Amino acid sequence: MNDFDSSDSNLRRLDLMIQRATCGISETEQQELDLLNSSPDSPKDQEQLEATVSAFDLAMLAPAVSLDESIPKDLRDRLLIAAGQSLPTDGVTSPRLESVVPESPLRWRGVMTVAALAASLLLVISGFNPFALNPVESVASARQRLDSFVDSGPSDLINLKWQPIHDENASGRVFWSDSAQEGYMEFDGLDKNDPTVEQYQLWIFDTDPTQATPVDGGVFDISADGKVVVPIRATVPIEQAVQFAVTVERPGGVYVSKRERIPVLAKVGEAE
Amino acid sequence: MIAAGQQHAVAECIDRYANLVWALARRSCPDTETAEDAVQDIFLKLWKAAGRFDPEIASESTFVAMIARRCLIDLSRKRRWETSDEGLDRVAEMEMNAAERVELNDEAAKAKRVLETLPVDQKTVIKLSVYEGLSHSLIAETTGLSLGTVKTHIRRGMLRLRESLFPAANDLVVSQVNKGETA
Repeated sequence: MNDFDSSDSNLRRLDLMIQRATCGISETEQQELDLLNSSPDSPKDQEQLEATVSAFDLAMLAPAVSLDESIPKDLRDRLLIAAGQSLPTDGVTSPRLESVVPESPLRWRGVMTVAALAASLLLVISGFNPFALNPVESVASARQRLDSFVDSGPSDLINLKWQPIHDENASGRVFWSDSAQEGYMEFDGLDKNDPTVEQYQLWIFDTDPTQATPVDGGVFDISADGKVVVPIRATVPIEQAVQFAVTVERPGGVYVSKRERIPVLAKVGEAE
Repeated sequence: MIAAGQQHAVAECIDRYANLVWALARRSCPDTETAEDAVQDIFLKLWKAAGRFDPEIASESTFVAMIARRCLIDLSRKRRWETSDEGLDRVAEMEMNAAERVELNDEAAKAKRVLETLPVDQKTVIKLSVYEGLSHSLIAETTGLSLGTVKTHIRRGMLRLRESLFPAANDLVVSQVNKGETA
C-alpha cells in the first residue's frame, strides 16, 4: 500500500470511527471498519474517540438539562433487582462522580434546538431552511435538484410509483439511491396539510439487519396543489431501501407511528 | 467496588449516575417508558463493562456517558411503528427544566473550552452530530455544507479535543489524516 492509499484508508477509518461514536454505523460499514482496523491499537483508538465524543456531549448536555430530576423510584428498585440477577460473580469497579463546574443555561434538545444551532450557519450559507422543507425550498428548486439527481444516473437508482392507501387521489413517484444516500419524493394530488395541526412523515424500510424497524425519513408539508417534489432526509444511513411509506402525524413527527393514516406507500419490486 | 451481591455498592452506583443516564435517555427516547427501558439496559451494560473501565481513557462520568451513548445510538436506529404519545409533551416538560444546571467533569470542561475556540460552522456541525445525533448526510443537508466539509469539520474538531484529552496518542493519526486531507 502506498502513502496515498495508507492516508486515504486512515481518513476513511477515522470517519467511520467518528460516525460510529456519534450516530452509529450500519453492519456493512462496521465490516468495512473491521477490515481497516488492522492495528492492535484500534480498540483503544475507538475508545478514545468515544470518550472524546462523550466529553463533547457532556459539555453540551450539562448546561442544557437538569440532573436534579431523579429517576422514578420504581425504576431504581427495578435496577437493583436486575443488578442482583445479572451481575458477574467477580468484582467490578464502582464509578465515582468527579468534582464539577456549573455552567450557563442552554436550551433543551429538539427540533427547535437544531434549528437554533443551525440558524446562524444557514443565514450565512444558503438561506435554506431544512426544518420547513416546502415553504422555503420552492417546488421549482426541488424539481431541479430531482432532475439533476436523476440525470446523474446513480447505478442503483430506485424509481417507484406511489401506491395510494388512504388517499386515493394521491400519486407520484419516489426516487432513491443507496450509494448516494439521496432521494426525492414526487407527489401529485396529495392533500395540502396545515403544519400547525399535522405533518407528513416518511418512513424508509431497510434490509440492514441492524435496522429491523423503519427509519425516520423526515417530516414534510404539502403547501401547493399539483405536482410537488420533496427531498428525502434519512436520519441514519440506509443500507438498502426496500419500501417507503408516508404517514400523517402530529407536527414535528413521531418516533413511533400508529400507522393510522398512510396516504401512500411504495415497495421495491412492485409497480416500478 | 461493586462486588456481586454487594447491593449497597450497586445502589451507590445507581444513585451517583442515574440522573446523568436518565437525562441522556430522556433526551434520546420518545417517551418515559422507552427511557426507562433504556436506563435499565444502560445500567446492565455499565455493570458488565465496568471491569474494562480505564481511567487513562475516560473519567468515570465520561465512561458512563460512553456506555449510555452506545445503547442509545443502537436504540435510535430502531424506531418502531408502535404506539407512543409522549414525545412532544416530554420535550416541553424538559424545556421547562432546562433552567436547572448540571455540572462538568474535567474532560467535559476541556471539551467546552475546545468548543469555544472552534469556528462557528465547525462548532455547529459538532453540535448537530454529537448532541443531536444527526447523520453526516443530514447535517450536510441541514447546513447546506457539502458532505466532505461536514466530515472535515467533525474530524478536525474531534482530533483537536482528542489531542487535548490524550496528548500522547494522536500524533500518528493526525499526521496520516492531514496527509489524506491534502492528498
